[in-house]
Amino acid sequence: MSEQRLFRSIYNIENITVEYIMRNISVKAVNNVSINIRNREALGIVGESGSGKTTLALSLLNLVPSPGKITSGKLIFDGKIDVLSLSDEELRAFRWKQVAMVFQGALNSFNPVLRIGDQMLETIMEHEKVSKQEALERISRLLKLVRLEPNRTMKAFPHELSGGMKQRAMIATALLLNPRVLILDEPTTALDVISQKYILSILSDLKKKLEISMVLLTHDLAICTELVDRIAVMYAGRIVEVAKMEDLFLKPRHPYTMGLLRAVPSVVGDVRKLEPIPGAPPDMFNLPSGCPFHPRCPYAVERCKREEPYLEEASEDHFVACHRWREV
Amino acid sequence: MKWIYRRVLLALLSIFFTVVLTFFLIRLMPGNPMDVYVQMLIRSGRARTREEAIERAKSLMPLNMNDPLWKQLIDYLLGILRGDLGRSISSFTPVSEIIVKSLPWTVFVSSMALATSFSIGTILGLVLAYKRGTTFEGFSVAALTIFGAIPNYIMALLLFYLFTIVYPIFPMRGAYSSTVTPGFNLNFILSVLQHALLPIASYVLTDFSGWALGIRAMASTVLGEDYVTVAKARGLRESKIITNYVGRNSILPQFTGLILSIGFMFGGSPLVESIFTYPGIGRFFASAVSARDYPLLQGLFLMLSITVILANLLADLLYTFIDPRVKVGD
Repeated sequence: MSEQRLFRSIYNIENITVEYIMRNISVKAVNNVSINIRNREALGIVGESGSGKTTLALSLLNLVPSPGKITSGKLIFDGKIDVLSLSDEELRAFRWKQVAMVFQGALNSFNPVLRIGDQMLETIMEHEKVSKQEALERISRLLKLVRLEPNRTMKAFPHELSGGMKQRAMIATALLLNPRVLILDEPTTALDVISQKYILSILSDLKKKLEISMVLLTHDLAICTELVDRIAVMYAGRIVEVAKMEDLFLKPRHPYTMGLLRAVPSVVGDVRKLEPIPGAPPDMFNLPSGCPFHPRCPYAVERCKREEPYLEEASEDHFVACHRWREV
Repeated sequence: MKWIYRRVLLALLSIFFTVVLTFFLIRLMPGNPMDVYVQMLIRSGRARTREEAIERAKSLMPLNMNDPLWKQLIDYLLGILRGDLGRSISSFTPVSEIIVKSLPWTVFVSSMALATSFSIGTILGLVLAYKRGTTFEGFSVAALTIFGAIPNYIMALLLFYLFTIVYPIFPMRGAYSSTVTPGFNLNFILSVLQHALLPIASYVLTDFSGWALGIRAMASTVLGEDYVTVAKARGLRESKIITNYVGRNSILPQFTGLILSIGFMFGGSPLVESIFTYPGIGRFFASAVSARDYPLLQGLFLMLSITVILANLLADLLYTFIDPRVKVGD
C-alpha cells in the first residue's frame, strides 16, 4: 500500500524543517512536515497567515530566503532527484523546469523595466535550446490559454497590465517549461471577486487540459472546493490534517479543521451559524508546549500540553495529528 | 510634445536668472578688480607711486566700470546676445577665447574621472549589495565612507606629494610636456595621459565611493523585491539576475546623478587644477576669483550654469527611455 502511494507521487517531502535563524533566536516556520504531492492531483494547503505555507512552498524550490534555512529533512522529486543535494547549476535547471511557482502578490513578480514577452522568452531560453520562433509560438499559445491577447501582452511592460492580467501572465510564465508541479501561492488574494472567479476557472481549465500537479496555498477554504482533490491543513508550521477534499469537509477530524469549517459559510452542509475559533493565532516565537493548538482547543487534555501529536492514519488516506481524534 | 517646449523655456529662464544673480553676487565679493590690480602693480614694482598705479589701472579697466550697476548689467546681457562675453581684466584676452582654450582639458580630465569612478563604483556597489552582512562588506563600507569623506583637493595634495616629490614618477605641472609637439602623435598622447593621470586619480579616488554606496543601498532594496526571488525561481542564471534584474533597477536613480555630474564636469575643480597647475577651467576660476576678474568670472559661471541646466533637461528626457514607467508629460 505505501509502495503504491510512493509510486504515484511526484514529489516526496520528508520531515522538512525550515528555521529562520536570527541573532539569538530561531523560529521553526515549518516543523517536521511530510507530505507527498501526487501525480496530476491538485493539493490544497490551507492555513492562516504565518502558518508556514509560503515557507513550505519556497522550500520545494529550495529557495527559502535568508535568514531562513532548511535545517532537516529530505526532498525527493520524481523518486530520484534529491533536491537538497543539487549543485547550484543543477538546482537552477531544476527550478521552473520541474517545479514552477506563481508567487503571492504576482503583482510584483515581473521586473518592472522589462517587457512581459522578454521575461517569458528569457525563461525559456535559459532552460532550453529552442529557436526564438518556437519559443515565441509557445509563449503566445500559453497566453491564449490564460485568455490574454498574446501580441499586446508580450509587448506590455508590467505596469501596463491590470492585477488580474499580471496574475494570468504569471500563470502562463509558470507553464512555459511544462513543469510537473505548479505551486500557486494565494493566486486570488488581492484581486476583486470577478478576477478571482476568472482565475479559478482558468486554473480548473488547466487542470483538465494539462498533466500537471498543482499545489494551491490559500487561507480561503471556498477556493479549495472548486479546484482541489486533497487538502492539507497547516497550523503553526505543522500539517495537522490531510485528507481528500470531500472527506475533510464532511468528516474533519482535527479540532482546528473543525473550527476552520465552522468559521466559514458551509459549501456542502446546511446553512448554520458561523463560529470563530477562540483565542489568537500562535506566537511563533513562543509556541505552547505539546500540541501547539491546545490553548485554543475545546478538547484539550493534560496529555496535549505535554506531548506533541504526530500524523496518524485515521481512516483511508485521512491523516490527523491529534491525540484525541478518536474521541472528538 | 508641449511638455518639451515648456521644459526648454524653463531651462532658458533658469539660465537667465542664474546670469543675473551671479552678476550681482560676484560684485558683492569684498574688494574689486581695480584695488587688486593696483596692489599687484605696486607689489611687483611696475608702478612707483600709488597714483601712478591707479592711473595705469584705470586705463586697463573696462570703460563702463563707473556706470550704475543696472546699466552694466544691461550692457553685459546685450553683449551675451551678441556672443561677446567681454575681455578678462587680468589677462586682456577675450573671455570666450579663454573658455575655448581651457575647456577641452577640463572636460577631458573630468569625463575620464567620471566614467572611471561611475563604473568602478557601480560594480563595487552591486558586489557589496550581494555580500550583505559579510565582514568583507562591513570593512568595505567603512573604507568607502572614509574615502568619500576626503575632499578631492586633499587627495590631490597627497598624490602630488607622493608621486611628484617623494617618488617623482609623474610630471608636476601642465597638460603636456614642452618637448612634444601638440597634434595627433603618440608622444603627445602619452604625455597628455601622463599629465592627466594624477588629476583624474584625485577625482576617482574620492568620487567612486559615493557611487558605490548609492547603488549598494538601492540594490539592497531591489534584492528584497519579489521579482528578484521570482527570477531565481525561474532558474535564471545569477549573472543575468545581477545585470538585468538587480542592476537595471538599482541603476535608475544613479543615472540621474550621472547626468547631473556631466553638467558639473564642465566646471572642473579650482583647487585640484591649481595643485597640478593644469590649464583647465578650474584654474581660471581660481585666478579669476583672486583677481576679482568680473568678466571672466561671469563668463565661466554662464558656461557652467548652461551645462548644468542642459544636463538637467537631458536627464529628464533620457529618463523616459530607460524607465518605461516614466512618461513624458507626467
